[in-house]
Amino acid sequence: MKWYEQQGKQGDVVISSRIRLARNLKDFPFASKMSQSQAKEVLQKVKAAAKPLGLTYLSMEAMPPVNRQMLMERHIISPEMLGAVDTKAVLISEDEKISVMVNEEDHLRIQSMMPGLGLQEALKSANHVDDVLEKSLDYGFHPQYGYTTCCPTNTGTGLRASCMLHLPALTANGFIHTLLASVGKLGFTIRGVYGEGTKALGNLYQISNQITLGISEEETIKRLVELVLMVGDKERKMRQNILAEQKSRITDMVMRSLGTLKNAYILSSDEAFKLISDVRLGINMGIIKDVDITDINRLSYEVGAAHIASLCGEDGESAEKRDIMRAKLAREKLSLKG
Amino acid sequence: MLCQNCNKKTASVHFVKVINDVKTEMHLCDTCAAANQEVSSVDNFDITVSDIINSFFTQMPSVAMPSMLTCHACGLSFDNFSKTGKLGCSICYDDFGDKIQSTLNRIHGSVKHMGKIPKRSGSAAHQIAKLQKQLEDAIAQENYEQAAVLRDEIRKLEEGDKK
Repeated sequence: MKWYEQQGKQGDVVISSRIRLARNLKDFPFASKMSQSQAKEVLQKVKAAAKPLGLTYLSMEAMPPVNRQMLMERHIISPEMLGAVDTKAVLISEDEKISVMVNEEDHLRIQSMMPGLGLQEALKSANHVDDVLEKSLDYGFHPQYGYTTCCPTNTGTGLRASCMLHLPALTANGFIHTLLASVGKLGFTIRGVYGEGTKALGNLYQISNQITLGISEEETIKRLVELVLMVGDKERKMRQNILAEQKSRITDMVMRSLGTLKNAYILSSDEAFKLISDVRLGINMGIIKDVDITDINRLSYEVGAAHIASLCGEDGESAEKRDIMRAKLAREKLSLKG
Repeated sequence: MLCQNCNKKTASVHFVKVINDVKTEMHLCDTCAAANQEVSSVDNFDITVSDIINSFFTQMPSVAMPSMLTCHACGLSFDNFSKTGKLGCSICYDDFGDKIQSTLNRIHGSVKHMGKIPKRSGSAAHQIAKLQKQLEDAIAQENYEQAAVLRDEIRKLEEGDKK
Protein backbone atom coordinates (compact mmCIF):
# COMPACT_ATOMS: atom_id res chain seq x y z
CA MET A 1 0.00 0.00 0.00
CA LYS A 2 1.35 3.44 -0.97
CA TRP A 3 1.71 5.97 1.82
CA TYR A 4 -1.06 8.17 0.41
CA GLU A 5 -3.57 5.33 0.63
CA GLN A 6 -3.01 4.97 4.38
CA GLN A 7 -5.01 6.68 7.06
CA GLY A 8 -2.61 8.47 9.47
CA LYS A 9 -2.99 10.23 12.83
CA GLN A 10 -5.89 12.70 12.89
CA GLY A 11 -6.76 11.13 9.54
CA ASP A 12 -10.44 12.15 9.70
CA VAL A 13 -9.30 15.74 9.06
CA VAL A 14 -5.58 15.65 8.20
CA ILE A 15 -4.99 13.88 4.88
CA SER A 16 -1.21 14.22 4.76
CA SER A 17 1.86 16.05 6.07
CA ARG A 18 4.77 17.31 4.07
CA ILE A 19 8.21 18.69 4.85
CA ARG A 20 10.25 20.50 2.25
CA LEU A 21 13.85 21.64 2.72
CA ALA A 22 15.39 24.08 0.21
CA ARG A 23 19.16 23.75 -0.27
CA ASN A 24 21.68 25.18 -2.73
CA LEU A 25 25.21 24.34 -3.73
CA LYS A 26 27.68 27.02 -2.70
CA ASP A 27 29.76 27.03 -5.86
CA PHE A 28 26.91 27.40 -8.36
CA PRO A 29 24.60 30.33 -9.11
CA PHE A 30 20.93 29.68 -8.29
CA ALA A 31 18.87 27.86 -10.92
CA SER A 32 17.59 31.08 -12.56
CA LYS A 33 21.16 32.34 -13.17
CA MET A 34 22.68 29.00 -14.09
CA SER A 35 23.95 27.99 -17.53
CA GLN A 36 22.82 24.69 -19.01
CA SER A 37 26.24 23.12 -18.51
CA GLN A 38 26.28 24.22 -14.86
CA ALA A 39 22.80 22.76 -14.39
CA LYS A 40 23.97 19.43 -15.80
CA GLU A 41 26.97 19.52 -13.47
CA VAL A 42 24.61 20.01 -10.51
CA LEU A 43 22.53 17.03 -11.68
CA GLN A 44 25.66 14.84 -11.76
CA LYS A 45 26.91 16.02 -8.36
CA VAL A 46 23.55 15.40 -6.69
CA LYS A 47 23.13 12.03 -8.37
CA ALA A 48 26.53 10.94 -7.03
CA ALA A 49 25.90 12.36 -3.54
CA ALA A 50 22.53 10.59 -3.31
CA LYS A 51 23.97 7.10 -4.05
CA PRO A 52 23.96 5.95 -0.38
CA LEU A 53 20.24 6.82 -0.13
CA GLY A 54 19.18 4.21 -2.69
CA LEU A 55 16.73 6.55 -4.41
CA THR A 56 15.64 6.15 -8.03
CA TYR A 57 17.01 8.90 -10.26
CA LEU A 58 14.57 10.08 -12.94
CA SER A 59 15.59 12.63 -15.54
CA MET A 60 12.62 14.89 -16.33
CA GLU A 61 13.72 15.08 -19.94
CA ALA A 62 13.69 11.31 -20.42
CA MET A 63 10.21 10.97 -18.88
CA PRO A 64 7.04 10.98 -21.04
CA PRO A 65 5.02 14.18 -20.39
CA VAL A 66 2.05 12.24 -18.98
CA ASN A 67 4.32 10.63 -16.36
CA ARG A 68 5.58 14.09 -15.33
CA GLN A 69 1.96 15.16 -14.86
CA MET A 70 1.25 12.06 -12.79
CA LEU A 71 4.17 12.85 -10.46
CA MET A 72 2.75 16.35 -10.07
CA GLU A 73 -0.73 15.02 -9.27
CA ARG A 74 0.82 12.88 -6.53
CA HIS A 75 2.60 16.03 -5.23
CA ILE A 76 6.01 14.41 -5.76
CA ILE A 77 7.09 17.26 -8.02
CA SER A 78 5.95 20.88 -8.27
CA PRO A 79 4.46 22.49 -11.40
CA GLU A 80 7.79 24.31 -11.89
CA MET A 81 9.44 20.99 -12.70
CA LEU A 82 7.42 20.72 -15.92
CA GLY A 83 9.38 23.58 -17.55
CA ALA A 84 12.99 23.44 -18.87
CA VAL A 85 12.97 19.68 -18.37
CA ASP A 86 16.46 19.18 -19.83
CA THR A 87 18.03 20.63 -16.66
CA LYS A 88 15.82 18.91 -14.10
CA ALA A 89 15.59 15.57 -12.34
CA VAL A 90 13.86 13.99 -9.38
CA LEU A 91 15.05 11.28 -7.00
CA ILE A 92 12.30 9.15 -5.47
CA SER A 93 12.22 6.49 -2.77
CA GLU A 94 10.39 3.26 -3.51
CA ASP A 95 7.49 4.09 -1.19
CA GLU A 96 7.35 7.63 -2.69
CA LYS A 97 7.55 9.22 0.77
CA ILE A 98 10.91 10.81 -0.04
CA SER A 99 11.69 12.82 -3.13
CA VAL A 100 14.44 15.24 -4.07
CA MET A 101 13.78 17.72 -6.85
CA VAL A 102 16.96 18.89 -8.55
CA ASN A 103 17.21 22.33 -10.20
CA GLU A 104 13.75 23.51 -9.32
CA GLU A 105 13.88 27.11 -7.98
CA ASP A 106 16.66 25.94 -5.66
CA HIS A 107 19.26 23.33 -6.56
CA LEU A 108 17.70 20.90 -4.09
CA ARG A 109 14.18 20.56 -2.77
CA ILE A 110 14.12 17.67 -0.34
CA GLN A 111 10.58 16.46 0.32
CA SER A 112 9.26 14.02 2.85
CA MET A 113 5.61 13.02 3.11
CA MET A 114 3.54 11.15 5.68
CA PRO A 115 -0.12 10.17 5.85
CA GLY A 116 -2.18 12.11 8.42
CA LEU A 117 -0.48 14.36 10.95
CA GLY A 118 3.13 13.20 10.81
CA LEU A 119 5.25 16.33 10.60
CA GLN A 120 7.84 15.21 13.16
CA GLU A 121 8.45 11.90 11.42
CA ALA A 122 8.57 13.65 8.04
CA LEU A 123 11.15 16.15 9.34
CA LYS A 124 13.24 13.31 10.73
CA SER A 125 13.46 11.54 7.38
CA ALA A 126 14.02 14.79 5.45
CA ASN A 127 16.87 15.62 7.86
CA HIS A 128 18.40 12.21 7.25
CA VAL A 129 18.40 12.76 3.47
CA ASP A 130 19.79 16.27 4.03
CA ASP A 131 22.64 14.95 6.23
CA VAL A 132 23.63 12.26 3.75
CA LEU A 133 23.67 14.72 0.84
CA GLU A 134 25.64 17.28 2.83
CA LYS A 135 28.43 14.76 3.39
CA SER A 136 29.53 15.25 -0.20
CA LEU A 137 27.85 18.49 -1.31
CA ASP A 138 28.98 21.99 -0.29
CA TYR A 139 25.81 23.81 0.71
CA GLY A 140 25.34 27.55 0.58
CA PHE A 141 25.13 28.52 4.23
CA HIS A 142 25.45 32.04 5.64
CA PRO A 143 26.72 32.33 9.23
CA GLN A 144 23.97 34.83 10.08
CA TYR A 145 21.12 34.06 7.69
CA GLY A 146 21.41 30.27 7.54
CA TYR A 147 20.68 28.30 4.37
CA THR A 148 20.82 30.56 1.33
CA THR A 149 17.89 30.23 -1.07
CA CYS A 150 16.90 31.79 -4.38
CA CYS A 151 13.84 33.45 -2.86
CA PRO A 152 14.38 35.33 0.44
CA THR A 153 11.04 33.97 1.70
CA ASN A 154 12.82 30.62 2.24
CA THR A 155 16.11 31.89 3.69
CA GLY A 156 17.12 30.47 7.07
CA THR A 157 15.82 26.97 7.62
CA GLY A 158 14.62 26.58 4.00
CA LEU A 159 11.74 24.71 5.61
CA ARG A 160 8.19 24.58 4.37
CA ALA A 161 6.09 22.39 6.64
CA SER A 162 2.54 21.78 5.49
CA CYS A 163 -0.56 19.72 6.17
CA MET A 164 -3.35 18.91 3.76
CA LEU A 165 -6.67 19.23 5.55
CA HIS A 166 -10.18 18.13 4.59
CA LEU A 167 -12.51 20.83 5.90
CA PRO A 168 -16.01 20.35 4.43
CA ALA A 169 -17.90 21.46 7.57
CA LEU A 170 -15.83 24.63 8.11
CA THR A 171 -16.24 25.44 4.42
CA ALA A 172 -20.01 24.93 4.60
CA ASN A 173 -20.49 27.18 7.65
CA GLY A 174 -18.11 29.86 6.34
CA PHE A 175 -15.63 29.66 9.24
CA ILE A 176 -12.97 29.03 6.61
CA HIS A 177 -13.10 32.76 5.74
CA THR A 178 -12.09 33.69 9.29
CA LEU A 179 -9.38 31.08 9.21
CA LEU A 180 -7.99 32.27 5.86
CA ALA A 181 -7.82 35.81 7.21
CA SER A 182 -6.36 35.04 10.63
CA VAL A 183 -3.60 32.45 10.20
CA GLY A 184 -1.41 35.00 8.41
CA LYS A 185 -0.91 36.88 11.65
CA LEU A 186 0.55 33.71 13.15
CA GLY A 187 3.08 33.36 10.34
CA PHE A 188 1.10 30.66 8.52
CA THR A 189 -0.87 30.53 5.31
CA ILE A 190 -3.84 28.45 4.21
CA ARG A 191 -4.97 27.96 0.63
CA GLY A 192 -7.00 25.59 -1.49
CA VAL A 193 -5.02 22.59 -2.76
CA TYR A 194 -6.92 22.69 -6.03
CA GLY A 195 -8.35 26.04 -7.08
CA GLU A 196 -8.05 29.36 -5.30
CA GLY A 197 -9.09 30.74 -1.92
CA THR A 198 -12.43 29.57 -0.57
CA LYS A 199 -13.43 27.86 -3.79
CA ALA A 200 -11.14 24.99 -2.87
CA LEU A 201 -12.03 21.96 -4.92
CA GLY A 202 -12.93 18.94 -2.81
CA ASN A 203 -12.75 21.03 0.39
CA LEU A 204 -9.03 20.35 0.57
CA TYR A 205 -6.74 23.00 2.04
CA GLN A 206 -3.04 23.25 2.58
CA ILE A 207 -1.79 25.02 5.68
CA SER A 208 1.90 25.88 5.89
CA ASN A 209 4.48 28.09 7.60
CA GLN A 210 5.61 31.36 6.03
CA ILE A 211 8.53 32.26 8.30
CA THR A 212 11.90 30.56 7.98
CA LEU A 213 14.26 32.99 9.71
CA GLY A 214 14.51 33.51 13.47
CA ILE A 215 12.73 30.26 14.29
CA SER A 216 14.00 26.68 14.49
CA GLU A 217 12.58 23.77 12.50
CA GLU A 218 11.25 22.12 15.67
CA GLU A 219 9.51 25.28 16.88
CA THR A 220 7.94 25.86 13.42
CA ILE A 221 6.51 22.34 13.47
CA LYS A 222 5.34 22.63 17.07
CA ARG A 223 3.34 25.75 16.23
CA LEU A 224 1.94 24.26 13.03
CA VAL A 225 0.83 21.12 14.88
CA GLU A 226 -0.94 23.29 17.49
CA LEU A 227 -2.72 25.19 14.74
CA VAL A 228 -3.70 22.03 12.84
CA LEU A 229 -5.06 20.42 16.04
CA MET A 230 -7.08 23.56 16.77
CA VAL A 231 -8.54 23.64 13.24
CA GLY A 232 -9.19 19.88 13.40
CA ASP A 233 -11.13 20.30 16.67
CA LYS A 234 -13.29 23.03 15.14
CA GLU A 235 -13.98 20.92 12.06
CA ARG A 236 -14.99 17.93 14.22
CA LYS A 237 -17.28 20.05 16.43
CA MET A 238 -18.97 21.41 13.32
CA ARG A 239 -19.43 17.89 11.97
CA GLN A 240 -21.02 16.84 15.27
CA ASN A 241 -23.36 19.84 15.14
CA ILE A 242 -24.41 18.93 11.63
CA LEU A 243 -25.02 15.34 12.68
CA ALA A 244 -27.08 16.45 15.68
CA GLU A 245 -29.17 19.04 13.86
CA GLN A 246 -29.40 17.88 10.25
CA LYS A 247 -28.77 14.15 10.28
CA SER A 248 -31.23 13.32 7.49
CA ARG A 249 -29.94 16.02 5.18
CA ILE A 250 -26.25 15.16 5.63
CA THR A 251 -27.01 11.44 5.27
CA ASP A 252 -28.96 12.13 2.08
CA MET A 253 -26.11 14.25 0.70
CA VAL A 254 -23.28 11.76 1.30
CA MET A 255 -25.35 8.72 0.20
CA ARG A 256 -26.38 10.47 -3.03
CA SER A 257 -22.75 11.28 -3.73
CA LEU A 258 -21.75 7.68 -3.06
CA GLY A 259 -24.55 6.57 -5.40
CA THR A 260 -23.29 8.84 -8.17
CA LEU A 261 -19.69 7.74 -7.70
CA LYS A 262 -20.79 4.08 -7.89
CA ASN A 263 -23.08 4.49 -10.89
CA ALA A 264 -22.08 7.47 -13.03
CA TYR A 265 -21.01 6.80 -16.60
CA ILE A 266 -19.36 10.18 -17.27
CA LEU A 267 -17.43 11.93 -14.52
CA SER A 268 -15.44 15.18 -14.81
CA SER A 269 -12.50 15.67 -12.43
CA ASP A 270 -14.26 18.60 -10.69
CA GLU A 271 -17.33 16.48 -9.99
CA ALA A 272 -15.18 13.55 -8.91
CA PHE A 273 -13.34 15.73 -6.37
CA LYS A 274 -16.64 16.96 -4.95
CA LEU A 275 -18.14 13.47 -4.71
CA ILE A 276 -14.98 12.04 -3.15
CA SER A 277 -15.07 14.84 -0.56
CA ASP A 278 -18.68 13.97 0.35
CA VAL A 279 -17.95 10.24 0.60
CA ARG A 280 -14.82 10.92 2.68
CA LEU A 281 -16.93 13.01 5.03
CA GLY A 282 -19.60 10.29 5.14
CA ILE A 283 -17.02 7.65 6.13
CA ASN A 284 -15.36 9.87 8.76
CA MET A 285 -18.76 10.79 10.27
CA GLY A 286 -19.72 7.14 10.51
CA ILE A 287 -22.59 7.46 8.01
CA ILE A 288 -21.00 5.35 5.28
CA LYS A 289 -19.78 2.07 6.73
CA ASP A 290 -19.23 -0.23 3.77
CA VAL A 291 -16.54 1.79 1.97
CA ASP A 292 -12.90 1.59 3.03
CA ILE A 293 -11.18 4.99 3.51
CA THR A 294 -8.03 3.63 1.84
CA ASP A 295 -10.01 3.09 -1.38
CA ILE A 296 -11.14 6.72 -1.24
CA ASN A 297 -7.55 7.85 -0.56
CA ARG A 298 -6.31 5.93 -3.57
CA LEU A 299 -9.19 7.08 -5.75
CA SER A 300 -8.56 10.74 -4.93
CA TYR A 301 -5.13 10.45 -6.58
CA GLU A 302 -6.21 8.18 -9.42
CA VAL A 303 -8.97 10.48 -10.72
CA GLY A 304 -6.40 13.18 -11.61
CA ALA A 305 -6.35 14.09 -15.32
CA ALA A 306 -2.89 12.63 -16.00
CA HIS A 307 -3.56 9.37 -14.18
CA ILE A 308 -6.76 8.91 -16.15
CA ALA A 309 -5.02 9.89 -19.41
CA SER A 310 -2.37 7.23 -18.82
CA LEU A 311 -5.15 4.62 -18.39
CA CYS A 312 -6.80 5.81 -21.62
CA GLY A 313 -3.62 5.31 -23.66
CA GLU A 314 -4.14 6.75 -27.13
CA ASP A 315 -7.60 8.05 -26.21
CA GLY A 316 -6.09 10.22 -23.44
CA GLU A 317 -6.39 13.35 -25.56
CA SER A 318 -10.19 13.31 -25.55
CA ALA A 319 -11.83 14.94 -22.51
CA GLU A 320 -15.01 12.87 -22.89
CA LYS A 321 -13.08 9.60 -23.15
CA ARG A 322 -11.20 10.61 -19.97
CA ASP A 323 -14.46 11.38 -18.16
CA ILE A 324 -15.86 7.98 -19.20
CA MET A 325 -12.66 6.27 -18.00
CA ARG A 326 -12.82 8.18 -14.69
CA ALA A 327 -16.40 7.02 -14.08
CA LYS A 328 -15.42 3.43 -14.96
CA LEU A 329 -12.52 3.55 -12.50
CA ALA A 330 -14.75 4.87 -9.70
CA ARG A 331 -17.45 2.24 -10.40
CA GLU A 332 -14.89 -0.58 -10.34
CA LYS A 333 -13.15 0.58 -7.16
CA LEU A 334 -16.37 1.03 -5.22
CA SER A 335 -18.64 -1.72 -6.53
CA LEU A 336 -16.27 -4.43 -5.28
CA LYS A 337 -16.92 -3.27 -1.72
CA GLY A 338 -20.55 -2.33 -2.15
CA MET B 1 17.26 106.96 -18.11
CA LEU B 2 20.42 107.62 -16.18
CA CYS B 3 22.30 104.95 -14.24
CA GLN B 4 20.78 104.95 -10.77
CA ASN B 5 24.21 104.25 -9.26
CA CYS B 6 26.52 106.88 -10.83
CA ASN B 7 23.82 109.11 -12.24
CA LYS B 8 26.24 109.99 -15.07
CA LYS B 9 25.99 107.48 -17.86
CA THR B 10 22.86 106.17 -19.51
CA ALA B 11 21.47 103.03 -17.91
CA SER B 12 21.85 100.16 -20.39
CA VAL B 13 21.37 97.20 -18.02
CA HIS B 14 17.91 96.75 -16.58
CA PHE B 15 17.84 94.22 -13.80
CA VAL B 16 14.63 92.93 -12.24
CA LYS B 17 14.81 90.66 -9.23
CA VAL B 18 11.76 88.90 -7.75
CA ILE B 19 12.27 87.15 -4.46
CA ASN B 20 9.28 85.94 -2.46
CA ASP B 21 6.98 88.11 -4.56
CA VAL B 22 9.01 91.24 -3.74
CA LYS B 23 10.09 92.91 -6.96
CA THR B 24 13.29 94.99 -7.01
CA GLU B 25 14.42 96.90 -10.11
CA MET B 26 17.92 98.19 -10.92
CA HIS B 27 18.87 100.32 -13.90
CA LEU B 28 22.65 100.62 -14.36
CA CYS B 29 25.28 101.70 -16.90
CA ASP B 30 27.74 99.05 -18.24
CA THR B 31 30.52 100.13 -15.86
CA CYS B 32 28.38 100.02 -12.75
CA ALA B 33 26.66 96.81 -13.90
CA ALA B 34 30.04 95.09 -14.30
CA ALA B 35 31.01 96.26 -10.82
CA ASN B 36 27.78 94.98 -9.25
CA GLN B 37 28.24 91.32 -8.27
CA GLU B 38 24.61 90.47 -8.31
CA VAL B 39 23.94 91.96 -11.71
CA SER B 40 27.18 90.76 -13.35
CA SER B 41 26.44 87.16 -12.39
CA VAL B 42 23.47 87.32 -14.76
CA ASP B 43 25.93 87.50 -17.63
CA ASN B 44 26.78 83.92 -16.81
CA PHE B 45 23.15 82.88 -17.02
CA ASP B 46 23.85 80.16 -19.59
CA ILE B 47 26.33 78.56 -17.26
CA THR B 48 23.82 78.77 -14.46
CA VAL B 49 21.39 76.67 -16.49
CA SER B 50 23.97 74.02 -17.20
CA ASP B 51 25.00 74.26 -13.57
CA ILE B 52 21.47 73.37 -12.62
CA ILE B 53 21.47 70.43 -15.01
CA ASN B 54 24.89 69.34 -13.81
CA SER B 55 23.85 69.60 -10.21
CA PHE B 56 20.88 67.41 -11.09
CA PHE B 57 23.24 64.79 -12.47
CA THR B 58 25.64 65.02 -9.58
CA GLN B 59 22.69 64.36 -7.31
CA MET B 60 21.63 61.34 -9.36
CA PRO B 61 24.01 58.78 -7.90
CA SER B 62 22.62 59.18 -4.41
CA VAL B 63 19.08 58.75 -5.74
CA ALA B 64 19.89 55.84 -8.05
CA MET B 65 22.39 54.15 -5.73
CA PRO B 66 20.50 50.81 -5.53
CA SER B 67 20.98 50.20 -9.25
CA MET B 68 24.75 50.43 -8.73
CA LEU B 69 24.59 47.65 -6.14
CA THR B 70 25.56 44.48 -7.98
CA CYS B 71 26.67 41.04 -6.84
CA HIS B 72 30.30 40.60 -7.86
CA ALA B 73 29.88 36.85 -8.28
CA CYS B 74 26.75 36.46 -10.43
CA GLY B 75 26.28 40.02 -11.71
CA LEU B 76 22.71 40.39 -10.45
CA SER B 77 21.82 43.99 -9.56
CA PHE B 78 19.80 44.77 -6.46
CA ASP B 79 17.34 46.63 -8.70
CA ASN B 80 16.75 43.47 -10.68
CA PHE B 81 16.28 41.49 -7.49
CA SER B 82 13.71 44.05 -6.31
CA LYS B 83 11.73 43.42 -9.50
CA THR B 84 11.86 39.61 -9.56
CA GLY B 85 12.21 38.77 -5.87
CA LYS B 86 14.81 36.14 -6.80
CA LEU B 87 18.46 36.23 -5.83
CA GLY B 88 21.21 35.05 -8.17
CA CYS B 89 23.58 33.14 -5.90
CA SER B 90 24.70 32.63 -2.31
CA ILE B 91 27.16 35.56 -2.57
CA CYS B 92 24.25 38.00 -3.20
CA TYR B 93 23.53 37.68 0.54
CA ASP B 94 26.91 39.29 1.32
CA ASP B 95 27.11 41.75 -1.56
CA PHE B 96 23.64 43.22 -1.02
CA GLY B 97 24.60 43.99 2.59
CA ASP B 98 22.10 46.08 4.55
CA LYS B 99 19.59 46.01 1.69
CA ILE B 100 19.10 42.25 1.83
CA GLN B 101 19.11 42.40 5.61
CA SER B 102 16.16 44.80 5.65
CA THR B 103 14.35 42.68 3.03
CA LEU B 104 14.76 39.61 5.22
CA ASN B 105 13.64 41.53 8.28
CA ARG B 106 10.53 42.73 6.46
CA ILE B 107 9.60 39.17 5.42
CA HIS B 108 10.50 37.25 8.56
CA GLY B 109 10.69 39.85 11.32
CA SER B 110 14.16 38.52 12.11
CA VAL B 111 17.64 38.44 10.59
CA LYS B 112 19.16 35.65 12.67
CA HIS B 113 19.06 31.99 11.68
CA MET B 114 17.94 29.86 14.61
CA GLY B 115 17.69 26.48 12.93
CA LYS B 116 19.85 23.62 11.75
CA ILE B 117 23.52 24.18 11.02
CA PRO B 118 25.04 21.80 8.45
CA LYS B 119 28.01 19.79 9.71
CA ARG B 120 30.55 20.71 7.03
CA SER B 121 29.27 23.80 5.24
CA GLY B 122 28.41 25.39 8.58
CA SER B 123 31.67 24.74 10.44
CA ALA B 124 32.26 28.48 10.96
CA ALA B 125 28.66 28.90 12.10
CA HIS B 126 29.14 26.05 14.58
CA GLN B 127 32.26 27.76 15.92
CA ILE B 128 30.46 31.13 16.12
CA ALA B 129 27.52 29.58 17.96
CA LYS B 130 29.93 28.00 20.47
CA LEU B 131 31.78 31.29 21.04
CA GLN B 132 28.51 33.19 21.37
CA LYS B 133 27.46 30.82 24.14
CA GLN B 134 30.80 31.45 25.90
CA LEU B 135 30.33 35.19 25.37
CA GLU B 136 26.92 35.10 27.07
CA ASP B 137 28.44 33.17 29.98
CA ALA B 138 31.34 35.64 30.26
CA ILE B 139 28.93 38.60 30.35
CA ALA B 140 26.76 36.85 32.93
CA GLN B 141 29.85 36.38 35.10
CA GLU B 142 30.84 40.02 34.47
CA ASN B 143 34.10 38.83 32.98
CA TYR B 144 34.27 41.70 30.50
CA GLU B 145 37.91 41.24 29.48
CA GLN B 146 37.18 37.70 28.37
CA ALA B 147 33.95 38.90 26.72
CA ALA B 148 35.86 41.45 24.62
CA VAL B 149 38.28 38.78 23.43
CA LEU B 150 35.40 36.48 22.50
CA ARG B 151 33.54 39.28 20.74
CA ASP B 152 36.60 40.04 18.56
CA GLU B 153 37.04 36.37 17.78
CA ILE B 154 33.38 36.09 16.68
CA ARG B 155 33.75 39.17 14.48
CA LYS B 156 36.86 37.73 12.88
CA LEU B 157 35.08 34.48 12.12
CA GLU B 158 32.03 36.27 10.69
CA GLU B 159 34.23 38.39 8.44
CA GLY B 160 36.33 35.40 7.40
CA ASP B 161 33.29 33.38 6.46
CA LYS B 162 32.10 36.03 4.05
CA LYS B 163 35.33 35.87 2.09
